[in-house]
Amino acid sequence: MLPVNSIRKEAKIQSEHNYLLEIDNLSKEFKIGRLGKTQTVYAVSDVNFKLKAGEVVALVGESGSGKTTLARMIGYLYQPTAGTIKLHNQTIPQHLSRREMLRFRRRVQMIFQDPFSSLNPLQSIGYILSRPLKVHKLATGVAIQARVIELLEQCGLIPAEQYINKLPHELSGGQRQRVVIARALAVSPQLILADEPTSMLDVSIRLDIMNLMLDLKEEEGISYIFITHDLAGAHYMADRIIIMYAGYLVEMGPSDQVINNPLHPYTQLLKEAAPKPESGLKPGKVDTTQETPDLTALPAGCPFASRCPQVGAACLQQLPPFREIADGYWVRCPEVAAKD
Amino acid sequence: MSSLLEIKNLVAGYQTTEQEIYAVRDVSLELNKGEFLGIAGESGCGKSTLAYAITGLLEHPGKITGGQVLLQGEDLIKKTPAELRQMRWQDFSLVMQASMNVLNPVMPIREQFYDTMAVHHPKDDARYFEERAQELLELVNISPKYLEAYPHQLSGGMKQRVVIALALALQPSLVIMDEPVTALDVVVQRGILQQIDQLRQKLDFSIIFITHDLSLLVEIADTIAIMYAGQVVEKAKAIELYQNPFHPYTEALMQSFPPLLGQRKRRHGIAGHPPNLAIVRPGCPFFERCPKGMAGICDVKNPELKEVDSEHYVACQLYPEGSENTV
Repeated sequence: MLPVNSIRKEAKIQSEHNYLLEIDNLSKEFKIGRLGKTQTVYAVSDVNFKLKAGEVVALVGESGSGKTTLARMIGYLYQPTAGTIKLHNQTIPQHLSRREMLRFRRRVQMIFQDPFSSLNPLQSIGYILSRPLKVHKLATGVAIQARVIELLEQCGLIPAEQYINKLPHELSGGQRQRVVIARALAVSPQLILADEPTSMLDVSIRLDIMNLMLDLKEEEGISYIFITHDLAGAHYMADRIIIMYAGYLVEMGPSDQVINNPLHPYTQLLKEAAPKPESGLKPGKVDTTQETPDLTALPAGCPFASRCPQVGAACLQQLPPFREIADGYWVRCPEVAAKD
Repeated sequence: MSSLLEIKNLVAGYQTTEQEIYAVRDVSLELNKGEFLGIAGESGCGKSTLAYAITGLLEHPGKITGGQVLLQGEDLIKKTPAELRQMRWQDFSLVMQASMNVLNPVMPIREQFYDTMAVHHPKDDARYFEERAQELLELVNISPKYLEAYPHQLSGGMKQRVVIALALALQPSLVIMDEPVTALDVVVQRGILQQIDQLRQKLDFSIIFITHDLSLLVEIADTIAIMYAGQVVEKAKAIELYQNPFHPYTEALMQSFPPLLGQRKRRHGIAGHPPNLAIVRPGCPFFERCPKGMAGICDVKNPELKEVDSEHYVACQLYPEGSENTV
């Protein structure tokens, strides 16, 4: 217990000067098809961003925008095709030894969408939560039990003793997702990659899970990359929002600004399409006729050009650069003028 | 407007050897011609069971134990399975949750349209079928060339639109939609909702739209009914319900959606869990989670749904009948 916390405190002090995570020119291609007819899917293209310790960043985009692929690369589940990922200013190498891998997993953990399939149905909750402690040698003997109870309580599963011997099927979806969060928390990570952690849950439970994650951020200083297609949820959770489209980052900035005053036409479309009864009851008509581009044959210009109401001639010829138009505010659209 | 569908004191549930689940408890609803009724509630509140009960699709171990479902005056519960089969698609149709999986994966879209129409059409009129299938696809903004396609060649949103087109093939007067857009992206979702609204205005059918996403419903429905533990606890015009929710559960449900716009602020979900539907307790089913629950009153008598304001119905002891300003 103690050494973990002190390591993290040390890391915290370090990270005041550095970023927790730095992503440089990250790309991922998948080969599909076979027998000489292979095609390349450009899932993530040239992604750059930085994450501070204790910060929550939301990755928002529709299915196929590359947000999950990006998170999986950061979580060392996919190998990037190009680019680097730095954690505390250290590049994560292409191949990690088992020891390095364990070290990495102690810092970066993942939470998945479906709490029904991310817990082994044959293992008790107590066993599930004790595994990371044993694998990472974070506790031994009676200390394991004490830490498991502490984790359950921290994640709102009270009285904890009642949950230890239960199997996953005896818990509701919300309770299972709490167990998944507790399991990620067991190694006291610095970064949690949460891939749509609330989309399978009931509306009344979603807010509880988001609140739990925010509480843990405040108590433990954990950073999150929160993946979602729900703009309202992203706004609620995140300090900054990154909008992805067809594998590219298209807009990045502080949550309030991205939501209340989106600059990229795609973000504007997302905002128009999202339910928002607070802004008047009958929504305006949104043009939704176009579909997402084919990721195996991306256009030469802006990938959003075919759907964009403000498309210019230049957009069709060349991919617009991802520009910083104001301090910490980035947009990939030539039509957006730089702010002073 | 005249009433198209009248549900009177419907009771339905599931009976297994071990227990009985009371999923729909004494539900009464009325739907006018051309009306868009939204039903919202958490998982396990009985909203899908209600949809199955209305359409006669509730299969063993589910069963209807009481009440009436009057569609244009005819009681659907009393119909034989053969009679119901004739009425389905023609008088009412159902678009189900994850209905993209409803399409037959080894049949081109054309065949699926032909199939649906052939069952109900006296003559096997290939030319009429072809014209109608093209017309239906165009209705939902899909090019008729996709009649050749197999379901796997369509995107999720397109499949959903095909299913909606199928549901409209025989011009039913009532379409029941159970979470039709839940699995889709926001932009696609918005597109389909707009389409449904346009079609409804053009073809003048009524919709019962079931979802857990109340914020979506507020924008598209005429009337909203909130279900909790198998009962309708509040029913009102969408705007009225949004601006002036009476039932503490409705209020809590609205609170649990963070708003898109404005400043970030912490909110709180609904404490506790939905009740076990296998147990019937005296008193209000929301009592244990209710911040305004009154011991000795709310846990003794289950309040009935009554009109407390014009066309605003609520089942809560806080609101005596006909009074507007009591809290």
